[in-house]
Amino acid sequence: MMSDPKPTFYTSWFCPFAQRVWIALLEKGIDFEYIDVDPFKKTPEWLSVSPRGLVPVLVHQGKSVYESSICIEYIDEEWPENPILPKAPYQRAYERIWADHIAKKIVPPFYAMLLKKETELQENAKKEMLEQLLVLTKAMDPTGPYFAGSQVGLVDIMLAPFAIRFFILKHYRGFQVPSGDESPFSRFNKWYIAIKERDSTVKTSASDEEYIGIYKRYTDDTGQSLVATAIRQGTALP
Amino acid sequence: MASDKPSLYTAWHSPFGWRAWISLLEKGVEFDYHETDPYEKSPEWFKISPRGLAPCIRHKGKSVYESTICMEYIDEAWPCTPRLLPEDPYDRAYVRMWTDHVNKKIIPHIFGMIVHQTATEQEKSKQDALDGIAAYLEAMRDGGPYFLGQNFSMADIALGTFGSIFFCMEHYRGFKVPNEAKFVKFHDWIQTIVARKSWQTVLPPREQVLEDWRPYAEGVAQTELAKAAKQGKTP
Repeated sequence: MMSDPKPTFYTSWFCPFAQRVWIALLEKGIDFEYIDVDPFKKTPEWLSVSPRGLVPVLVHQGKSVYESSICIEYIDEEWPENPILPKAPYQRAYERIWADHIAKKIVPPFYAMLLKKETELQENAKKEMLEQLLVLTKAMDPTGPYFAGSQVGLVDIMLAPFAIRFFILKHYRGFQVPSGDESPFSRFNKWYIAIKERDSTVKTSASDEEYIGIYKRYTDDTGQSLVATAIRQGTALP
Repeated sequence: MASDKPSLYTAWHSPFGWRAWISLLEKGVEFDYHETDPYEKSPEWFKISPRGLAPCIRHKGKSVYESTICMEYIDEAWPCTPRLLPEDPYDRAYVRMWTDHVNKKIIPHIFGMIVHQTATEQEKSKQDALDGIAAYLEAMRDGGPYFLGQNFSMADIALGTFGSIFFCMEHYRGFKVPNEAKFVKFHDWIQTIVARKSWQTVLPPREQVLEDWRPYAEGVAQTELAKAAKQGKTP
């Protein structure tokens, strides 16, 4: 079998989880094949590539890696130049701890805000989101602009796709991160400005109109993704 | 002064805690054990573990928490054998994917079957747990006895801690991993795992484990764990 140095990246253009891996591939300067899939069409071919039927999946040398954070760590270890994770064990654990915080405390209220129909639940999600963003902000390197300092790392990549979608939360739910130099979020806003204009973010983001359009189905309760279902049922995200 | 000797803050009855405890024991690391009640939200506790989670490792003045993150930290801070993750990047991803699978597709249902109070919900949790276990067993590499084959890893610890107290789920909910077909591998695997010195050190007596899970099984536990488990989440 022919050696296959070039990985294949299976993604969906609108998916923030897949965008994380796309950003990582670009940050590393890796040459890869890009394949856009419809993850709602669970064909046998697709399930043989992606056992959970989800994007993102990275296939390299005939083997599949899935889960965005696991893909990023794989990319970092397989292509060690321009490291995404630091070398020291505690610094690595710190990045993983705050990536886990994003997964458990920031991503769920993002979706809850859009999917819940009751205003009270939407307001709870907004409150939760701001609280947890503040916790994350306090964990940031004071100078930055990125989470750990002057270099982009795992936490930046895990948060970026959601942060650039915050305008959707404003559009549909009136959610906003407070601005102003005196705001407790000023460090977060500094981070946001830096990550938003980064090449890898720009190249992997769709237009505002495209995002507004695709997220409408969450707000009118027609969303069929596993994420939407989990939020409606109040269970953990896949 | 920040110490090079780590401290483990954990609860004796917690299978999540055993993951960190077993990892330290396997590595032969000298550490201080601190019995902890993570539901006692004292200011002192939050100074040790900022999100109030156990297990938590304090090492050189820093805190590491989340049981899976603890296992990776232990492997990286003490890179002696046994390695909890292998060298090859794909194999490392494989161990991480299947540890993630244990955390998302098996453990929540183990809690679910205990915490749910109706037979319908319990049966569903039992079936979901078995489906998750079947997938894990199918992903096991040939040549045994461990998940990766010859080599012990974090994937064994991830499931093996909870797997070693399945007698408790059987006691309260009649949950059994079948001894045939696609489940046959489970029994050889768990026997090998539980025989390891580290498991023998951490596992409490049967009666204590059963007593510890009773409030959850009877629907009277008020902890965050119980609330989260009812929602299919685990903290």
